[in-house]
Amino acid sequence: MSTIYIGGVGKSDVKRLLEQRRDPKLKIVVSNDLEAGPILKRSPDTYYIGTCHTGAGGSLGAMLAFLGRQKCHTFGRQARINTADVQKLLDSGIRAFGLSVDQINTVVPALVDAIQARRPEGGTA
Amino acid sequence: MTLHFTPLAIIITILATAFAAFLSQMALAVFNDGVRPFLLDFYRGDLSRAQMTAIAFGLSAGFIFGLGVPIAFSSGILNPWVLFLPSDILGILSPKKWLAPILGAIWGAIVVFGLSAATTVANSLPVNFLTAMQQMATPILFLFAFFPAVAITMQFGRIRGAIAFLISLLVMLITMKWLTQVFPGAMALAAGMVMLVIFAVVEEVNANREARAEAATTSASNAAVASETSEGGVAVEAPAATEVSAVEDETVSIFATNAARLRKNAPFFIVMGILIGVLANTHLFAGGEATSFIIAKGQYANAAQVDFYRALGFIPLIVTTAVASGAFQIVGFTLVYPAAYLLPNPILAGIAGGALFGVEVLILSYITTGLGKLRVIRDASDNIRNAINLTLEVAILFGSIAAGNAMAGGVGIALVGGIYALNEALGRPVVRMAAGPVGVILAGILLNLLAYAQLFTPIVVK
Repeated sequence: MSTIYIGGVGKSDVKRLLEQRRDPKLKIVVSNDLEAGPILKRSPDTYYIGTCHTGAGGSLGAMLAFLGRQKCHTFGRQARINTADVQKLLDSGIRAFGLSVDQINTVVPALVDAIQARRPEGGTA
Repeated sequence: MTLHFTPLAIIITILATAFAAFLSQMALAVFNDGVRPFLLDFYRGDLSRAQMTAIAFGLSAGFIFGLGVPIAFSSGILNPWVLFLPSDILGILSPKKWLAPILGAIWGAIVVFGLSAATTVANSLPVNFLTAMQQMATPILFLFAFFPAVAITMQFGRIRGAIAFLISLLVMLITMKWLTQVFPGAMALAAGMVMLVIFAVVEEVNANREARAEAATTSASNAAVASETSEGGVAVEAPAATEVSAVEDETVSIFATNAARLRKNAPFFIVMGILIGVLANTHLFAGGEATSFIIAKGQYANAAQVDFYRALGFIPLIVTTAVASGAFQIVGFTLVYPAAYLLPNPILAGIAGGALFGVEVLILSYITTGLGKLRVIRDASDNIRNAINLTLEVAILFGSIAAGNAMAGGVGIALVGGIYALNEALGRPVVRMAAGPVGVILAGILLNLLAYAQLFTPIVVK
């Protein structure tokens, strides 16, 4: 089961959005970069979604120090993403995602769809 | 409304952007909190200067043209986005140390002279949208009073949120009736902040108590497991525990190295602090979106209060990114703004700025340790940022539509509101906070063109 840790300014919005999916296969934990960083580092199939105004500062924050830049990605203020692009990011080993609070509704669903879609292939994360 | 950049303001702006660019060239500080985390890989050599420039540009460009420029142009007051986001980029792209301050200085000069030229032109137009923008201060100051109640609702739920909202309103009404010399929004804001702090501290204490109780029960059950395994042979818990502490040790050592790097460079930051202190003391520069319009109206005490609370929303973010990257924030913890608005002269403001930055850099690692433990406080800070944004978006939109009304009545309302809605539909290329002001500027330009074409009769903008 994928576990998604969420943090940053818009964490309550992301939580509400993900809870609406009512997906039993998705575990959501409200957290922050300092707490989730060490957890992501040692547990596979865990992801982090952070939000702030730039999509990188409060979103990723200390994640870059915990996981290294190669495992982090920021969508910045990008408004439209598609599942195929996210799939590519996940294939390259990215586990922590940052995005701008005002793009939560467009970015988060596609992002989580892609994370969920990876499940059948199993623990390449 | 007229704008006079004094020689001191011109010189200090240019010096500030020059020095800021110099600091980002050396990866010692950047203004953009999103760029900062990447600097760790940059000064370690894992990211090339070209890659780093691309990252900085990508994360900053939208805020320069979508926030900094429209806020500066519509308020006539300089802001950190328009000055220091470009200086971040210019510093990072400079291959040589000497080049960065030159590019930074050129940018500072472009902004100062550009802004005063643009304001002069705008003031000579038949439809004066800069005067219309004076409508902005009132909605911002009154609505800002309710941001603590919004933050409380986000963090502590609807009951405490509703209580906070009602108390803020009550304080506002009482102030209006009996304390007529005090600004009612300021008192309500203070009352809301006091409630937010009380709720957060109580929650923090409770959470810690619960955590301690939980730790006691788990350690008891662990002891039971341990005694079982010692009989059975293999201890399963041990490797996991060592792994955890190894990960944490590694991070702690990265953080310690970064904090040491910052302390070692404290003199640079003190100089930056002096420059920011003097700059904010000119009252031609404001630290926030809201304060740009408040400073423009000359209400320095209100501006100081607003930016002080705003700082509470940013300090944990600045501290975390600084310690995680080894690079500081160009404007420090932003506490320099309120101090510099209020101090009577540039010399004192400069001293205060330098002293603040020095202390801030020295205590970084202590605050990080504290933040790791104080989860509720850290959440409160995120919620403060979110709530400020939410209330400001409403206030600035309202102020912009009022400015539209002041310029051209119903037509103005339609133009500004329409441009705002259009921006939403386009996936928000301009951030919400600046979409209203952009609407006013565009509507103002259009109305002036229409006035020249004799299609619109300008009304007197009050």
